[in-house]
Amino acid sequence: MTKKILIVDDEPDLLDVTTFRLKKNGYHVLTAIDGQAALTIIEKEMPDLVLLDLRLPVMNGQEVCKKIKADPKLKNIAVIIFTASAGGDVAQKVKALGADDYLIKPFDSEEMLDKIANLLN
Amino acid sequence: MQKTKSGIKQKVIFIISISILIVMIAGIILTYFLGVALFRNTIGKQYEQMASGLAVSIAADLAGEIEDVETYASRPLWRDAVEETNSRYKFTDKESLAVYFNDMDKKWAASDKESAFVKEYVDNRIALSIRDILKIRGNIAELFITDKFGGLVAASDRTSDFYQADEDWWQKAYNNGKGEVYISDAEFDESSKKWVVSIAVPIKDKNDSIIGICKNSISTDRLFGRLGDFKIGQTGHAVVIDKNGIIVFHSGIEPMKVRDYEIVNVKKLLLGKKHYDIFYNAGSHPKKMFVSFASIKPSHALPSDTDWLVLINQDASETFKSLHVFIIQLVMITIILLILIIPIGSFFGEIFAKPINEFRLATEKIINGGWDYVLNIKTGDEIEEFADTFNEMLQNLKNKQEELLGAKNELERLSQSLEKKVEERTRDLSLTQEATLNILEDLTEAKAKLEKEATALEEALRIKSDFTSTVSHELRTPLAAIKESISIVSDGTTGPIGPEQKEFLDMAKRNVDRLNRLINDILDFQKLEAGKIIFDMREDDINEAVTEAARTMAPLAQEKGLDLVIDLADNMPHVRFDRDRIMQVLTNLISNAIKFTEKGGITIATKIFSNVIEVSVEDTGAGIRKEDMPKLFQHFEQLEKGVDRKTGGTGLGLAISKGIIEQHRGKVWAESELGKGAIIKFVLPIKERRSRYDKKDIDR
Repeated sequence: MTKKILIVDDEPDLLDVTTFRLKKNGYHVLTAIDGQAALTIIEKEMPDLVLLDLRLPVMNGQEVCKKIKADPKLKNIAVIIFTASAGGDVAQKVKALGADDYLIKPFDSEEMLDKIANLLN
Repeated sequence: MQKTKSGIKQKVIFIISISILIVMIAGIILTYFLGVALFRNTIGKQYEQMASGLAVSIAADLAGEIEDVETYASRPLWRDAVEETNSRYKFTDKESLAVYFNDMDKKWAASDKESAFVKEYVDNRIALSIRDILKIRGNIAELFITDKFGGLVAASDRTSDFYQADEDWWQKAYNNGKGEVYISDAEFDESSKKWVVSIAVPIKDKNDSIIGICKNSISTDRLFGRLGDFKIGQTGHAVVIDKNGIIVFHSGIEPMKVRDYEIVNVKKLLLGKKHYDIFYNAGSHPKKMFVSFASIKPSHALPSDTDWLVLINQDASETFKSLHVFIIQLVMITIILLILIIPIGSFFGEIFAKPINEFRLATEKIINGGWDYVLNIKTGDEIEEFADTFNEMLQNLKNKQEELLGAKNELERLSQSLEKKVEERTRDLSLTQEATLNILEDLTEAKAKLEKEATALEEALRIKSDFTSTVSHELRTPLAAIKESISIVSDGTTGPIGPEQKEFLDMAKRNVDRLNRLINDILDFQKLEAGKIIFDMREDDINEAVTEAARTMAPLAQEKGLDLVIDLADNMPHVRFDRDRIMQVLTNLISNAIKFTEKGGITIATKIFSNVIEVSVEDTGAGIRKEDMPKLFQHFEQLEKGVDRKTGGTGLGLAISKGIIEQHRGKVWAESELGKGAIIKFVLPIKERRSRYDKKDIDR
């Protein structure tokens, strides 16, 4: 069965490139450009995994992640934080949000595919 | 202290005096009472014996006189003469005899001594023999004989009467014809004018019938004459008294006239157990008399009312003179002793008082500070012991005092220097206070200024930091899109590409990665500078970090054909470090070493020093020029432009490493000689609590 992945990012180019890569790798891909839209899609589509940027318009990534993990219906959805912020504190921040993993931009496509495959199996 | 008391001496004298006084007074009293009794007994007995001796002698004398008279009376001549007279009586009836003797007495009284009638009796043959006897015997006052009727036969001198039978003594001697020896009391003889004692004895014929009486009057001087010679001392003399206390014989005193003692005294003597006594102002004696007596016991009975006592009288004061002298001597001795007591008492008092005075002197000296005074008492008793103990105590006290004095001086010295210092400081302080106040004012101003500036600086830094992180974030997002786009084309996802296209796409990708690293380094450096990096410090083994870093970098070294050697110290102590950050440092150092080494190898070693552990990364590369050394750890200083495109440095690596090591309170430095390789070393402190490590450990 084809896995459903939601990519949430306000950068259209990156959204396109990533969607292309994941579709090529056989995933059903959904996209959202803000937090609020992302939550609506998540509730409606129930994706298997969410690639979530932290810096988002309307509702930021942190809030979206917290809401997913706080909702009993949604908490089983895997969340990979997708951020341009680097540094030692990223891992801790991700853990605090209850996210399952993270990727720092710019990322290797192999690394991304490995982490997604890991979580979906 | 000036007043010297000397009570002990007086007390000793007083005590000794009292003792002597008590002993002596007791002695005197005892001596007096016991002595008087004893003395009285002894003297009394002695005198009594003397009296007794005298009495016996007198009795013997009297007996001798009687015997003599009896001898005369038994003379045949006298007997014949008396018998002849008796035979001449023509009548024997009482009346005729009374008339006869009455006529004879008248005739006798009328005739004088020279008359024929008297001469017939006093000049006859018998009378002549009587006078011969008187001449021989002497002191016989009178001697005459009568016939059996009392008529005179012969007499030594003219008698008062012719007829003697009317006399008491005649009747007693005649004793109704039975005859008896008669002894008279002392009496005055008119014819001889002498005091006499008369003895009358019967004249007996051959048939022992009484034919006449012979009377002999013996003067008391003769009879008691031996008493006159008796003397004891000055006042001791012997007398004879009768039982009425009348003197019978006393040398120089007429008998029977003077009362020697009252009858009461005599009775007391006679009835008393002791034959001596003391009479006070008794009889004719105005003094206290000591009297002892003995009865004269003659061979024949004395007249019924006559009892002769020999008394030895002595003035009692003379009798007890020796006793009194003795007592006086005792009293004298007592007085002498009492006088002697003063020097003796002083002597003994001195014995007691001297050591005590020594003690007092010592105490005075000590009070006045004479701690060196040593008592020298050699009495060989408890006082000496006391003195020794005292000296010992003194020595101890002295030592203590010296200690105290030393401490006190030290204290004074300190206190003075302290005062001086305080004074100096106070002066300095008052001087500096003003300056300080001025400075404080300036400082306050400066501080306000600085605070203002600091706030501005902080703001600037914050803006810079925010700017940097925003920029890096904003750079990354497009880089991600670029990188992923290149990757999609390069992977052949969009269709096959030729080797040339592939080569240029890879170059693009490498430069994207380099740009990314540069952004990361800039961000790191900026964070280090701003102190925004939170270090995750844990106790850990540096050897493990070194091993892991070496393993990570091994492929890179291998690629260049270099040996990567690790030389780890044993028993590496755990130190506190942030593993990720130290790994960052290690990989940076190792990658640098690999980058600048063309042949040979890289050695990573760990060592332990007393306070630090050391990690060194040594290479066999070109080395570092001496003038380049100071620039080594500065940012954006690359000594040699990128040799290796793959690992192209950002120029921030060593600067970031330095920042990280310094955040660990460590130090990093380089040692190198151009052409002989380089060695980069860093040290980390073993104990975090040590804020600093020794300089020598770091300057190694």
